Amino acid sequence: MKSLYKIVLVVVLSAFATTSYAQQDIEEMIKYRAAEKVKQMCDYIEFMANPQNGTEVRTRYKGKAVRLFIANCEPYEEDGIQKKGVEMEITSTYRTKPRRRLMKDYFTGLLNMRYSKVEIKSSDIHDIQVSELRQIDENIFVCTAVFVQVFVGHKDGKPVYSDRTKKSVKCYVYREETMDGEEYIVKLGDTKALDTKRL
Amino acid sequence: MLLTISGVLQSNAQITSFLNEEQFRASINLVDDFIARFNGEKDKPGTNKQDKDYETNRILYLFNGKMFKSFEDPMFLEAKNFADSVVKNKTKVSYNDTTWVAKAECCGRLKGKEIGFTLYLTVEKRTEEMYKWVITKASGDAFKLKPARKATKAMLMPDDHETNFMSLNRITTERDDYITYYASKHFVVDETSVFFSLVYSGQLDIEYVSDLQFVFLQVPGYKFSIKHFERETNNAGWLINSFEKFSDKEKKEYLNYIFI
Repeated sequence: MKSLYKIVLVVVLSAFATTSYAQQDIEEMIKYRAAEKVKQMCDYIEFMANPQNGTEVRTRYKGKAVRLFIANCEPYEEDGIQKKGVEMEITSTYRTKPRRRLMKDYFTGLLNMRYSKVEIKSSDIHDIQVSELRQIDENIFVCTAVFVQVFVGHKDGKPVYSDRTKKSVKCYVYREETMDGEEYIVKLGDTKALDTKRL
Repeated sequence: MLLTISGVLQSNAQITSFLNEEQFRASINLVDDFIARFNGEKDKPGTNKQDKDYETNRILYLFNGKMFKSFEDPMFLEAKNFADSVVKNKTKVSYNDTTWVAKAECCGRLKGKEIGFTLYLTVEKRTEEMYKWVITKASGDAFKLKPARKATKAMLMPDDHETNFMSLNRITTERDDYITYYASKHFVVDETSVFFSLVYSGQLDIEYVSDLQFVFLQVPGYKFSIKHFERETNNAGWLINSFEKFSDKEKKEYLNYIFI
């Protein structure tokens, strides 16, 4: 009887440990999905910003980029609150007051920059740091991803401006039940450019 | 063509080096990251668990190094005592603790005029697994309802009851900032309620957070706070910028100030 009790206890504890590890795995997987989405955004930004890529293609990439974000960067209503759309807040060592821009306007700005060539490099996906996942609703979670971005603008074949910025992006993770099981959709939200250092 | 390719590769390599990924990895970029390193769940890159003073050092690495002049600096020695207290007591900090507070220095606009004030925020439980930040206390000159000048004659007259208290109209139309002169001597202005009322009535907007720090009370005998330091060194990100000896009585008084 005692042996049976011990066996049952071991099985129950193992099941609990397995569930715990499985939950941890899911959380790590979700955080990686968030990092992937952020990396996708960085890649689109890199492509959009370079005038050498042609206006038509760059505009198409802007369309892809806005679709990574909540409500496709457009204003939306939630719980009676009119939200103006995803924003970027930019803080600088040269200015105390941060500037705010709608994300879609930031993307339009990338298309209209007056450089002959733009190079942007962002953190590798494995270097994008993601905060703990926190639940806000039955099937919705939030986390924040932080990464670094370097920008170099060229005119007449010479680099004329360069900076390094640390950015943090809010990520909203939606859990959906599908025929194949649970799926996690990541949508990006407000972005904060933490500091801009001229290089 | 080879020169063009090598030029592109060189340019790519240069830009990639500007990313300074090593510094980014060493920097404590998230508050969650600070908590994980404090609890020993995550290590500063390059540290070795086999080192003799690993446990104390992992706490010392969380300090803003510029606080200390040298290893003999009395403040550094006190920081070591602090680190020893964390290790000895196996102190952990958790996101859902009620003993940490966000202190946000805010810039806002009150009736079009720029003002500064402080908001204290704490983590509050919503349901079993869900939490949120809440504004627990507001503090600022704009919320003290101080009259602009001393006025000994500003009062409701002792016979106002005979005129149906018609003077109540006067006190709200003549000088609004004198309103607390008409309150009981026992009345204490609740700055937090004033803050909420001003926002509710559309008179106050918060424009941005100019300074943010997090205050922690979990370490026995100490209070410490962290701030974000953005710089090119490996000692960057969210770091302990101040710490002091704090008794349990002082902790209780501090939390009473925040929560009441």
